[in-house]
Amino acid sequence: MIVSKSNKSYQTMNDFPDENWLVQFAEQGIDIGMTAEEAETAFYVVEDGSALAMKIVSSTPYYDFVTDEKGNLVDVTPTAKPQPETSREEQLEAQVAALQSQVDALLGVSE
Amino acid sequence: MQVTKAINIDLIEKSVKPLIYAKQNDSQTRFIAASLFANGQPFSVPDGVVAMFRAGKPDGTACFYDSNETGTPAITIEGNLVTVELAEQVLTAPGNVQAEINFYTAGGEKLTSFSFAIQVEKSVLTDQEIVSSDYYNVLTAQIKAAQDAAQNAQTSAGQAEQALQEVEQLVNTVSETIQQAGQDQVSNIQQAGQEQITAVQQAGAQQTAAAAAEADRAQGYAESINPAQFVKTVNGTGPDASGNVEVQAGVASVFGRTGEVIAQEGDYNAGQIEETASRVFVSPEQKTKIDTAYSTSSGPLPIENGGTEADNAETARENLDVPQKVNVLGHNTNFNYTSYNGGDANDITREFHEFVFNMTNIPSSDSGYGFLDVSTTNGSGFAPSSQGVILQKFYGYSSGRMFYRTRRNGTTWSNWLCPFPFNGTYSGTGAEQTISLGFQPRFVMVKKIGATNHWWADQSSGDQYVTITSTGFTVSGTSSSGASYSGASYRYIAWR
Repeated sequence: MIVSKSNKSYQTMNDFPDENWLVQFAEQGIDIGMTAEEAETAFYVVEDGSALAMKIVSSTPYYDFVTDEKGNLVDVTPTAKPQPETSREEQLEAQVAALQSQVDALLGVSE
Repeated sequence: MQVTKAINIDLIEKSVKPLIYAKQNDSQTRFIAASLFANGQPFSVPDGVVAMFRAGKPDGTACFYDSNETGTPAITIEGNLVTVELAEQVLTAPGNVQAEINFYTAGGEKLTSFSFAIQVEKSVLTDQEIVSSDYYNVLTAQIKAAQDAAQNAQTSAGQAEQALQEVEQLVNTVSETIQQAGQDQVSNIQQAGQEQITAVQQAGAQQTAAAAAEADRAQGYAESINPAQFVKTVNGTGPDASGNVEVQAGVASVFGRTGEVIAQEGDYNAGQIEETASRVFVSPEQKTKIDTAYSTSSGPLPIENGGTEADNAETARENLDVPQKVNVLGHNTNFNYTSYNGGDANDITREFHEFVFNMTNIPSSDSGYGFLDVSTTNGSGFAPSSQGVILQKFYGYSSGRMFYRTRRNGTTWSNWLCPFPFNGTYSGTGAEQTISLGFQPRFVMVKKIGATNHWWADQSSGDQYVTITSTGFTVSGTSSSGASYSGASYRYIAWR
């Protein structure tokens, strides 16, 4: 697993359970949008399936990094998650459902 | 009993002459203590200097002495003070006696004081007649004799030195003589030795020549000998004209057989012979496998060379370096295996493994089924037969995965297939993001974890929010129903 230091998102790939594959890709000349050095410093590497990896998956992106004196990621501290916003589509669907109920009541339609 | 008259005498400046009064015929009692000066300064008499007293009496006789009548020294010297005893003869003639003191060194130097006077008063009554005479009692004479002796000794020393030099010269002469004599003797010995060596060498050469002549003579004698006159028979056979005797040699028996022995079965075992190009050995395990393959229709392919039950294409790759002909299921089949570097293609380093079964005489019941027929696309591969399936595989080392494709009946290959697709997860960021796979996938499926949302895409089309790129795919849709909703987790699967 690689974890972005900037937005705290993560990615996994089954061929690279504990490596930063983006660094390898960049070194092979594959365009990843950044250099190998930038990819090296932009991400933390966490072993897939580890307790820390599970903690990151369950908390992302609402957590803070905990690092040791060498800058290695050793833990994350979950932070409060914001309440999920209702999408405009869901709001309209709810309004439609409410209006439909009122129309049905006015027309005497029973379910 | 003594009386001493002190006077001063300057050895340089002459002053008033001192006058000393004495009485006639006094003996051993009157002394003169003369203090010596030089220009008024005390003059110390050097060591080794002897003093003499000299006097001229009125009657014309004289005295010259340094010791008195008894032999005792009459003059002593201490520093610049010289004390002189007046001998009896000095006072024998009344009147004015003129006196002086002489000083002598060992080297013959002489210093004399200015003279002084002794007034001798006549005795009133003479005790007995003492005849005035000359008085010489001089140790200086002895000194002179000693000096003469020293001179003689010095002369003798010079003579001795000269004699010593003569002796040394003589010794040198004798030494040189002896040395020259020794060298002459050594030269004589060396010359004599060389003459002896020359004589020995000459004698040796003569003896060698004599020995060679004797050897030649002995060889001639040996060649002249007819062996026949010495050898009678060997095993009943007599010598020929050259003296040789032909004797039948041989072994008693071979493998227990006598006479003319011909090799027969059982004479040697496999351990006593070597393989040839056309004849080789097999192990018991190999023979069992061969026998099994030949005797049953379901036995393992006999493409092994010391292999195990796990015989398959991979073990064949390890064991087979040259084409081998085998008989598969009783049918005449050519098997060939080669491998080579396929170069790079589509960002994949390829290594081709070619397995070729060229089957003939296939029964109609087997037609079209199951026999592995593997070829390559390098242009020289074996053409697919109507009965087989061509499997071409290579390893994509850049991804560590194996890909393969197949074709059957004709020249159309299937797409490259990967039996184990790529998969992974990502979290939504609330923005479009790229998932890098390192290659362009042929097909991608994405599903939101914990929800029913899912998407797909191939290289030409796809669902909303997922798009294939040259190095992976992008996901978008930032709402909760999108493919990159912040905080949501997604799983993908991609085929190359």
